[in-house]
Amino acid sequence: MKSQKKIETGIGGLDKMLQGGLIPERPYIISGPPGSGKTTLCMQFLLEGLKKGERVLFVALEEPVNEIKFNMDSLGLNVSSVEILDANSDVRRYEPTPVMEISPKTRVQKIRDVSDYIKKTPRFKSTVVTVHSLQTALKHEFRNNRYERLVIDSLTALKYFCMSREEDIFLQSFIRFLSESKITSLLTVETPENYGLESEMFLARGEIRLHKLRENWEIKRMISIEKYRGSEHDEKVYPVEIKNGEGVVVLIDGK
Amino acid sequence: MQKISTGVKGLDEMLRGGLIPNRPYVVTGPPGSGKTTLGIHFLMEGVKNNENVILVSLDEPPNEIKSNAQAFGFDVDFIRILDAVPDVKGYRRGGLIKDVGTVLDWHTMKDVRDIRMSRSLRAMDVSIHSVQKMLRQEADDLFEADSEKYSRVVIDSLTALKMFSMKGEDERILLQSFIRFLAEMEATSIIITQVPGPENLDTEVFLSRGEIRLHKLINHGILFRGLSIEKLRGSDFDEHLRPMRIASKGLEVLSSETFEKLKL
Repeated sequence: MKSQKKIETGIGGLDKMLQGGLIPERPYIISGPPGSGKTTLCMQFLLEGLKKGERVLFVALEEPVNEIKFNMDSLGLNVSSVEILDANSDVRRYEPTPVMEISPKTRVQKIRDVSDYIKKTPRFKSTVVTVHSLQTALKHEFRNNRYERLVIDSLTALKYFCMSREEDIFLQSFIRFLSESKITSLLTVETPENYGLESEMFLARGEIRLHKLRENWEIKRMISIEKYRGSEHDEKVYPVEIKNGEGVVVLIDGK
Repeated sequence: MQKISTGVKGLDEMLRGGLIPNRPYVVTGPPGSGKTTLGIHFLMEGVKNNENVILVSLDEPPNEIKSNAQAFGFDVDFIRILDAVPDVKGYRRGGLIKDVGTVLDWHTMKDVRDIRMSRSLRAMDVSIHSVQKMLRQEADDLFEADSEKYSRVVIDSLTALKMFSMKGEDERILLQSFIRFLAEMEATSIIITQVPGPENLDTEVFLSRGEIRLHKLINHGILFRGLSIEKLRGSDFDEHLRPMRIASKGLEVLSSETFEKLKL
C-alpha cells in the first residue's frame, strides 16, 4: 500500500495504532458509550492542531458550552484558544411563537470568551438547530476561514434532535459536505452498552471506538480501531486511562 | 466551583466532594433499589441549608412518599411538591375510554395528607410540556415573591412520564428540550429513570451530566445492594461499584468497602 501523509491525533498511543495518524481531509467516527472519553479525545485532537498552528473548530450539540469550558478546565486541558460553535437548541416553546433557526449570524468564539453561565432561552424567541441550518452556518464559516480540524459533538445529537426520522439523507449529505470541505473531522457517536451498527458508521472513512466496561467491580476503559480505509492499522484493543492534565492516554505495552 | 452534597453518606466521597451544581443528573436502578429515597436525601440536604427544593412526583402519590420518608426520620414538610401522579382511568358512557391524566397541583409537603381523589372534570394530560410549564410558573412565582430560586429539583420518575405522554421521535426532542430547560433553571436536578437497557440509548441518560446507578444483586439467596457512578462530567470519581445498605436513617454507601471483600 502506498503510504500517505498522515496527521497526528495528539494521542501518542493512538497515532501508533493508526500507523502514524489519520489520513487528512476525511471524516472519522469516534464511538463509545456515555462517559468513555469521546469529547476529551476530540479536544486533544483539536489541541494538536493548534500546536501546529492550524485553525480548529468544535461544534457543540450536546452540552452547554459553559459546561464544556468548565469540564476541560477541571481535567487540566487548556482549550481556551479552541474555537467553538454553540449549536445547542433552545428550550422549545409549545405556544405558537416565532421560531428562529440557527443562522450564519451565530458566532464562532474562542472558548476563553465563553461565558461561565448558561445562555438562557429568550422569553419570546427560541432558536432551533437543524442539520440544514448547521450546514449553512458551517459553509459560511468555511468560506471565510480555512479550518484544518473539526469536531462534531455529537453526530448522535444531530441525528436525534436536529432532524426528523425521514431525513436520513441529510445526514449523508452532511458527511459528504464535510469531506468536500477538505477538513479532517471527528464525529462522535453515542453508543449503548451493547450495540449494533448505525448507518452513519458506514459513511465515515474510519471508526475509532472507545469501550467502557465493568470488570471486577471497577470501570475499565479501552480503545480499538474498527475500520480505517486506505491504511493499515493495529487491530488489538488497548487499555485507556483518562489522566488529569493529559486527557485520554492509550497504554501500549504498559506504557 | 463549590460542589454540593447529595446528603447520602458515602456517596459524596465517591463523587469526590459531591455534585457540580446547576446541572441535570440521572439516578437509575431497578424497582425497590432506593432511587426515591436517594432523591429525598438530596432534597433534605437542600432543606437543611435553607434552599428551596422541588419534588415532581409522577410515580407515587405524595402521601405515600411522605409516610415512607417519615419512616426514615425525614421531616419533609418544607419540600415543595408537584403532584402529577396520573389519576385512575376514566370511562365514558358508551364504553369509550377517555384518557384521563391528572390535575397538576402544587403543594407543600406539610399540607399533604390523604390521597387526592381523582376528579375527572379537571383532568388534563401529564406531559413533559405540562410539567415544564408548571415548573417555569412555579420558579417565576418564587422569584417574583422572594427573589429566590429553586436550587434542587427531583423528577420521580421520568419512566412514568415517558410511558404516559410520549411516543416516537418527538420523545427525544421533548426530552432534550426539557433537560436544557432544567439546566437553564440553574437548579441541580436529579431525574429518576430506569436502568438503560444494554441495547438502548436513552436520551436522558446520554444528555445527563452524570449517572448514579443503584444495583440489587442476589447471591446465594441473599440480596446485596450496590451503587456505582457510571459517568460524571467535569470531575474525577470513584469507579468502583460499592456496597450500599438501606438503614434506619436511609441510604448508606460503604465507600471504602468492596464486593471482593464480601466474597461475592
